[in-house]
Amino acid sequence: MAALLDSALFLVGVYWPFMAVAGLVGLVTGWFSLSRDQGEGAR
Amino acid sequence: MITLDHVVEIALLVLFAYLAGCVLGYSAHLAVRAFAARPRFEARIRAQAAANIQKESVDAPEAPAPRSAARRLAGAVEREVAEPAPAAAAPTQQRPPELPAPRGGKPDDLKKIKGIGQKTESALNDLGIYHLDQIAAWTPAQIDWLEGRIAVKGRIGREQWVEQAILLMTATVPV
Repeated sequence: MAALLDSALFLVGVYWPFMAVAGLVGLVTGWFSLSRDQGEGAR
Repeated sequence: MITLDHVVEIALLVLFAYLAGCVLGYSAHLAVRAFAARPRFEARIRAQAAANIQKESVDAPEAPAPRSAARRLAGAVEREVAEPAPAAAAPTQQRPPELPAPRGGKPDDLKKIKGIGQKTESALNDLGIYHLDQIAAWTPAQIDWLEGRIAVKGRIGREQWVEQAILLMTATVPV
C-alpha cells in the first residue's frame, strides 16, 4: 500500500500538468452537463 | 522506462482528476444558479415581511409611545424639515412603518446584525422598530429617512442591514 502511494505521489509530481488538463476538461464537462431546463426543473 | 503499472496508475490518476473536475464543475454551476435565483427569494421575503408589518400595524392596539431622547430628536428633525418648506422636503424620504410595541412583547435581538450595537438598537426601538422583518422590508426611501436620524449617511447600505436581516430571517422562516 505504501509503495503504491509512493508511486502515485511520484507520478502526480511528474504528470501533474496532464492531470490539471484532465481536471479542467472535467470542470467544463460538469459545468455544461447541468442544462438550463434541468436547473429550472430542479427548483 | 515506463512500466505498464505506471501507465495504469497515470490513467487512473487522470481519470480521477477528470471525474473530480466533473463533480466540481457541476457543483459550481448549481451554486452559481442558486445565487442568481437569490434576489427573487429576497423579494418574496420582503413582500411577506411588508405584508406582515402592515397587518400588525392595523391590528396592534394603540399604546402610548415611549418618549425618549431619540424619539424627541426624530420628531424635532421631522418638524424642522416639514415646517419651513413643505415643498422642499425630500420626496425620497419616508418614515418606515413603526410598531407601538414589539409583537408578543418580545423584540428581536437586532444586535445580530453586524453594525448594530446597543445604542443603535435602542434608537431603533425608540423609532418603533423591534423586529428583523421590519428591517428586511425597508425601502431605499425609508433607509434615507433613517440614516438622517440614527446612522451616518450610507452606513445602512454599506453595512447591508437589510440583507443581513433577510439572511437572519431565512434562518428562521420556513421556506
